[in-house]
Amino acid sequence: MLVDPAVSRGKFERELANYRTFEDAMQRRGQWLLRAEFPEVFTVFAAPRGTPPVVVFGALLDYTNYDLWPPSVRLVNPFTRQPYRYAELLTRLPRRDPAAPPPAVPGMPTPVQELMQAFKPEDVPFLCVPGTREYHANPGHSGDDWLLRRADGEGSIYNILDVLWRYGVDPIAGLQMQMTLAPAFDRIPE
Amino acid sequence: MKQDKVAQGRGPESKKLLLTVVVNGAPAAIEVAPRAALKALVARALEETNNVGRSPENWELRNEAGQSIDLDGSAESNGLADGAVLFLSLKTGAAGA
Repeated sequence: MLVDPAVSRGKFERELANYRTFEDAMQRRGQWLLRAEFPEVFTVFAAPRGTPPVVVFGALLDYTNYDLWPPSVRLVNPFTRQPYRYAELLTRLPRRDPAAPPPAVPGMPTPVQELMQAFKPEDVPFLCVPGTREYHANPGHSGDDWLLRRADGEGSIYNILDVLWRYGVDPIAGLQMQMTLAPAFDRIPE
Repeated sequence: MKQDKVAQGRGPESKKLLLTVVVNGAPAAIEVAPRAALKALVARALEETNNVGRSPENWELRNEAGQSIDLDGSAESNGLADGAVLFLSLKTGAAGA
């Protein structure tokens, strides 16, 4: 333990109180904070557009040693809370490539980057954005120090959940159904 | 000369609106003129919530549904009513590397 838990808990509780003020709005958009007990926040994300609405993923945030450390962020199975492996993700949080020109026709496919990153399909992926522990601990981001960013709120409960919602849920328009023939096995002749 | 008053921002239609801007979860209540550009709103919200480490250009303003608000436009042109709640978030940093 690097930070007195009372200090981290105090910052955690303050952010949580801020979040609770607007929790109804967050729930309406499909962002359901189900449990917040220091140091963890467990939230389930659902896509409200389309019928039926879909539970897309859960997210487990860990604020241990906050804010000397940024929070850890894992996408998890919303029922078991087990971290998803990269190959299991329903969404990899696509981000439109800022360098790509806009599509000629609005709504057409456009080049994207994935905010969820892993080296292998069986790895537990991490959210590759500043403000998360996994991003700042990655050797590839050693020049982007969390301590230079922590006052900006990127690691706040509100901001992390907002990023997950904007990239993971808001772009989902609904379900695409694939139809196949349903066999009636008792009618299949010998 | 009601039309003139409206055009000059002095008519009843120009009564100020009270908007709540949530900055990283912290709220700031700010009065704006209906036809004033919203860029100033962002700067004031950042100042009131003590988020002064990044310039206003690094932030995005959205409504509850997540739709972007045009900062060059006004409350009126963005369809914002008195009492509207808006959410100001940092633009997501470089990622995917």
